Amino acid sequence: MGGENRAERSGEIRQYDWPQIYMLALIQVLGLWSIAPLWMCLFVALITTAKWLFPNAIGGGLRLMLTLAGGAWFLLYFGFNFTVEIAAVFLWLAASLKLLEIKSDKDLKLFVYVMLYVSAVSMLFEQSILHVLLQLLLVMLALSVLLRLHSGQVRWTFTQWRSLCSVLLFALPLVIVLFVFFPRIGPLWTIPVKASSATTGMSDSMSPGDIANLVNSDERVFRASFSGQRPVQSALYWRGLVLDRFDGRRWSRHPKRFVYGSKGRYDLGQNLEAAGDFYQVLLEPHNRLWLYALEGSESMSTHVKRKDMGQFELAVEAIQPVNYRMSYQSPEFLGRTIPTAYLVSGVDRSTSPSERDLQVPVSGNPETRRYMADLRKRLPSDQALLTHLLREFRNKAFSYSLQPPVLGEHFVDEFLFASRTGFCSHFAGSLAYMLRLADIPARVIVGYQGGEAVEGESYLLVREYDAHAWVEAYISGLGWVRVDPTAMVAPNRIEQNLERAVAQEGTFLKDNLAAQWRHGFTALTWLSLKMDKLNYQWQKWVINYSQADQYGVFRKLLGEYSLMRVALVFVSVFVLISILLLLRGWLKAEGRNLSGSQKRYLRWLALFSVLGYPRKIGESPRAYVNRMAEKMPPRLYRFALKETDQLEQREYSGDEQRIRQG
Amino acid sequence: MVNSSVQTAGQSKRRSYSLSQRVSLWISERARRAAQFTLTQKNIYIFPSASGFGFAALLLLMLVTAINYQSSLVYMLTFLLGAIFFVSIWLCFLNLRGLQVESADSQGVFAGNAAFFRVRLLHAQQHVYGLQLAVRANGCVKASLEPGKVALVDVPVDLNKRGRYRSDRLLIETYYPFGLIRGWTWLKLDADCLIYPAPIAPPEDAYMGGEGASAASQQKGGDRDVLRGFQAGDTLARVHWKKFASGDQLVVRDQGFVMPERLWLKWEDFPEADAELRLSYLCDLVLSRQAAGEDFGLELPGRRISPHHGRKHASECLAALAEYGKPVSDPAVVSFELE
Repeated sequence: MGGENRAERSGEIRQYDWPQIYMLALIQVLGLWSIAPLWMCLFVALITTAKWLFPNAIGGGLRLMLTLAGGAWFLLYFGFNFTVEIAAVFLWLAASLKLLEIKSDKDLKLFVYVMLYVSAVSMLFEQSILHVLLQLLLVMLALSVLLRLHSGQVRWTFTQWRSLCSVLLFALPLVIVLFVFFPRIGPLWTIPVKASSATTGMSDSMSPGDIANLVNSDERVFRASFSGQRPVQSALYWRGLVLDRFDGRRWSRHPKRFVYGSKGRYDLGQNLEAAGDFYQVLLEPHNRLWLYALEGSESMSTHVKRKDMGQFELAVEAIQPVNYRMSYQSPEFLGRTIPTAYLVSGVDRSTSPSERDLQVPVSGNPETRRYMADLRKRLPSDQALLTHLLREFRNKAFSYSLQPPVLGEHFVDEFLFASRTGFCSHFAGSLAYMLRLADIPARVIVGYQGGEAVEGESYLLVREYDAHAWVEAYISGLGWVRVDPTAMVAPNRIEQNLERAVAQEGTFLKDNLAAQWRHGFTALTWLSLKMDKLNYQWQKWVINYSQADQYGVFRKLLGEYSLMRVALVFVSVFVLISILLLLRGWLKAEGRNLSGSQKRYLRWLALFSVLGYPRKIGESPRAYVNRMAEKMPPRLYRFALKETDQLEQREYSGDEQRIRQG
Repeated sequence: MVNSSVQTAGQSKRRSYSLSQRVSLWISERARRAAQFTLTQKNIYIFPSASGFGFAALLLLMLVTAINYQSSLVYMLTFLLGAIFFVSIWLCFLNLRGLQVESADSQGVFAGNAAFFRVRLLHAQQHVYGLQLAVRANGCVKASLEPGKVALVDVPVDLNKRGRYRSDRLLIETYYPFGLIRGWTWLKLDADCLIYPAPIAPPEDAYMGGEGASAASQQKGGDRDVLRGFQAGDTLARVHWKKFASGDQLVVRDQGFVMPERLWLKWEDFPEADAELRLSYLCDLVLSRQAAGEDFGLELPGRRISPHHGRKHASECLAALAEYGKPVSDPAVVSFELE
């Protein structure tokens, strides 16, 4: 009787040498490979494997030594900095060391909980589909440890995995609904995320040759999709940073920057359609705060703040892809009066002194100074002066090149009056300098220009080689005006792309053989664009699913957004899952290897039990019905008797058997 | 137990119990006692466990992380774990629902050995995982069931005095599936625990029975262990191996005293021993008689069991010894009174 059922006295010492526990620690080495230092990955892999293979080899003394060594190494490596990255790595190391001395259920649970949190934090740094699948596997392992701990099973069998999967299956609808409809709010507070400052892409200063290095790469910077008609290629000026400080050679951001307001908060339930045209940007992680936006943009996302001079910033560095939505209005074209000029709004200084837009080094470039003093005398109007300078770029046979000659100390002099060969940074830097010499406020803007329209998709792909620099000048009577000297020298850079602009020179992606190769093969270009599409969908709909998307989806499915309706959706899913679970319990009971008549009998028996006439364990149907003779009301008894007769007749006559076989 | 005792004037004639003890007793007295229970939504309780609250704190931490770093993937993991928390509430309930619990025949133990209540568990349709059964805080026993198979589970109780005890409320709990949720039930099961007196072999001088007196006196003064030559039928355990090793013949130790053969085991046989000791002596005699397969009868003041043989008869005699002079008691009350 009950030969396979077990009853075990509590209090005995359990052995925690289940493979799942070790796998949990070991597989996370792969997950944290990119953020943890190499020595730590090896250290953890080593101690975990050692513990797995020789559970009893690591005694108290050795354990203490390992713990101290790990801790000291960690301190030496990271010091006392505190960032999320370091905290995650620390938790992982501590949990792995804890693995050496798991003595009770409580220890094990703590280990599992910490590993779950490490899984969560690891996804701040790595968002590829592959990494997410890996973390899902780790979560399954963590849950399997908990299940094994509480199911009272000594052996871990396939059945347990199956029941774990079914738990996940039942949780799934709830996860989807929560993900889609759970209200998203802006950050509450922030802790720096990364200690290492390895950044990619554009930097916050510009020397003459800088951008030319950048354009050697075909890395993706961001993707943008427009709600309405996409602006023409030559209008796509993605503003990044305002460089307002010039030291004679290098343009940079003024070290004392001011922040104003937290404009751009997106209110709950705001109607998106009413906001006019907008675009959505999916920015690749560049470990910086700044963002790229078209001129005349306003933020529609909670995590994007507007800063001084129309720049936009994130609350935390973009260590993962960032999604943001901006409304925008096309700037006014002034090309009839000043070549290439557009009127730009919302880029005034509001908190910092405006003299900064006139700052120049006290000496240097004497020839340029003389030239500008002379020109100013001849052309007192700002507008006329600017127009003249831009025309000079075209008329004086300047040429556009990715391999400009190296310039000396008075680099503007040498560039303007001798070499006349340069890249956008040369043109923009010298124009801004000249304007400042003539007392016209001016600054250099760095960002990206243009982008590749992906065929069949509604988005624009902007790569590193689209990097660009241009000038904003303040013309009295008009306001801030964007002018682009590069457009005067090499119009096809702006109207088409860099590849066309340097087609004759043949320097497109010159030093990047891999990128050249990728670019050369149509099949590879096609494949990379297809992969880009998949990644784009993953990033757009999962990683960068935002509040704005949330409203969109909600409105499409359920009409007007309100918290009441959200609550209603949650409750109905809760109820749905509950019903499904109960139904499964019932189906499981029904679906067991029972014949039809047995099932029928059991169903009636359940009813009798509810009415207060339970059958005893092990009591035969006949014994039960006999015992009920006096207990049950006569009518019910007669009914029970009839059911019992039928059951016996069917079960023992053999008909049933034949029917089931056939 | 809990020390913060609240005393009232009305309680003074009985022993004073702490508040929680009294609440517990009050509930216990009002619970329906039955020989069989089936667990349904009416008698299953569900609440997050301590580690469930810990898990909720973890989820909160994850949620804050997700909000502060605007990470959809961390949101997703938080929701996944939250949804699993929710599903595990149902799984915990469904694990217990439909479980049938029944008292099994009481199986006696001798005082000083671990005592237990025996219950029979069955779930007709499904697996039942990670059950823990306990009566009061007496340590628990774990069990898992397969569908349709009956399990006999001995629930330990901390009792060491002879007597027949009626089970206090039986606690059946489970932390299945992930330890986040505790599902439990209290059943006032109609189960008994029978504790026999500890068997003590009566020394010869304690034995003053009429028929055996001469036999006892025959051996008086002699050494307890007598060495004699090996005879057929002697067990090897009794061989004096040391002596054999030193070159002698096979020699066996003989227990000096041989219990005289008598039909009736009587209370009056041991006039000098106190009541508990007498019961222990009688218990030992019953066991040795039963082992020998002989007929015997038992005579206690107010109880007389006529001579017979076999296990059932021995059990009846042992039960009579256990219950002698004691009403059936509730272990809850007993354990309170012990304090």
